[in-house]
Amino acid sequence: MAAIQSAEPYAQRAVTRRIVLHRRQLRRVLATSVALLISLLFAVPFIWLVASAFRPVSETFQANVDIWTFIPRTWTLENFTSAFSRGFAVNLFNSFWVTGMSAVVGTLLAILAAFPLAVMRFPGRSWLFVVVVFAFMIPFEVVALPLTTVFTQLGLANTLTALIVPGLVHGLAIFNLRQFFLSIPREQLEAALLDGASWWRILFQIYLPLVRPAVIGSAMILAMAQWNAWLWPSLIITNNSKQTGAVAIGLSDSAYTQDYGLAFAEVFILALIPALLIFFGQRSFTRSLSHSGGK
Amino acid sequence: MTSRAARHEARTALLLLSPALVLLLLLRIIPAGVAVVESFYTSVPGSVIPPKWVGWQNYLDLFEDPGFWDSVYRTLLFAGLVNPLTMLFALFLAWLLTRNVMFTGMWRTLAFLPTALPLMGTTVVFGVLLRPEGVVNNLLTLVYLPTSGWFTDVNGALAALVILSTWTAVGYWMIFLIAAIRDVPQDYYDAAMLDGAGEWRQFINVTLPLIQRQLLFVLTASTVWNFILYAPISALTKGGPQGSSNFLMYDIITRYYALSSPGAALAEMTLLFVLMGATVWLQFSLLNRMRSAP
Repeated sequence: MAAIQSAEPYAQRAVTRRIVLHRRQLRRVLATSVALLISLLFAVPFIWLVASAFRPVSETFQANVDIWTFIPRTWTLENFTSAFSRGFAVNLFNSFWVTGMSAVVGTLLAILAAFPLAVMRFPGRSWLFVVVVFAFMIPFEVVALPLTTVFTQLGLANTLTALIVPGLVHGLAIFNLRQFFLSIPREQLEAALLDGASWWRILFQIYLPLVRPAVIGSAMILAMAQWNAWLWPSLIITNNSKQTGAVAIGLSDSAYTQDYGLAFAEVFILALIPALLIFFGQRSFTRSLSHSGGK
Repeated sequence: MTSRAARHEARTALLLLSPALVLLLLLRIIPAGVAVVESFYTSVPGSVIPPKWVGWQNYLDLFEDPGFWDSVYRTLLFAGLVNPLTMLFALFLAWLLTRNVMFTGMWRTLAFLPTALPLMGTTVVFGVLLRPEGVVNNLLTLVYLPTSGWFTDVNGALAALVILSTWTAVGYWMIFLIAAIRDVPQDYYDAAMLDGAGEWRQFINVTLPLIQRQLLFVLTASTVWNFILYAPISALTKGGPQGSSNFLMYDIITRYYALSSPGAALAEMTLLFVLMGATVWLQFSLLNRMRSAP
């Protein structure tokens, strides 16, 4: 490219460059406005939700749409106080516990499964990879119905354990880590093996520190799935004090006598935590997944 | 020596894999087997009458039930609308937000926000926004666009669910596609630019072919996700109006609990699973053919 440019006469090159720069800037502004427009489209329901969480319900259901549809006229925390006075804090705690346990234990399991599938050599490896990853890509919901009977017979109905266990494995979490492990050059492994290092040491001291973003990415996949899980908790938990936040917002819903202010406040709280995580974790998440490309 | 090391390696590998394999057996393979076996029985939940083997009867009953075929049709219609729409939006946003755009991080976070909402939360929000006299219809009137009864209307309910599902999922899949696009080596673009390819040609000839693997992955994952969409239907439409949103997943749960016929429900579940598999297989083979075409 440089060679071609230097072949042009100097003056002409400067002119072309200015035009190119100008066009590039114009395009940049254009692209930015399109991005702004679409992002706003995505943000509108969210902004409305935030506004509705912080105002009295009567204001949410005003007849006309104007600027006050998206900004509270009177700010209030009454929705939040009524949410917590009906015991939402317990549901929130359940969500934290279930999500945290699944993410921590699940990430460890995903590491243990992904490492041999990517790095170690043993008969039937590619076959096992296909089985493990694809079986776990089957959504848990598909097999949830027969499992409700099994979990109930084991006495696990209405326990947090029943919520944690199905969230421990996620095909995508294993897949993500495996792709990352694959990208690490084998020379390091061979050197370590020659030194007589054990497989555990190789995994935890050589490979794991190199794949930190992938670990975060997999933990996020596991955590998001559990934080938002709905069908399974609503089937296996009937006692509201053991229910997770995501299902509890549905429980306050009885079609006609629904307290929407309360529901909005609860949804807002439930969205805020992952939103903050995403905001700060966005970078490592995309970087991690960019290695799942499978090249 | 080498063979001993190899044996040790294989043993360690299996040891490391064993927790995942045990869970695989307990959480996917056995329950799937149980579901298939129970689909050949009829039973009355909570009674002392033992389940009765009925062979293919549950399946035959389903095939004769016009309601079931209607469910299949509505499920496929929904899938045919929502998945392409989600893919197009996700791909466009991913492409746009990997261009030279100002404040990229902010737009990405905004597009990703809906994913942070629990699905039931989204359901509550859209349930209110999409009321016949709600905010969305008001906004549409403001810009002289036609309105709809949304969840109270036969076609509106389907459209509303498509909007809800797309809104929820686009940001999530966008992240995967952004990651994929970022992985395309800059040299390819430089070469294309030397050939005088514009943005569009670069996208068609460089970006698209190089991210098709991730594209296929996102498409299948989105398809599977939409096949089992349940919470919004259960909270907002209950399969209605007039069965227009009575998708298979909702129909299955209704049969299992409300109609107390687990055998029939599990037979339908098995069929949904077959349908899911067939759709994913179709996507794979179609895209493979596209790839082998010049």
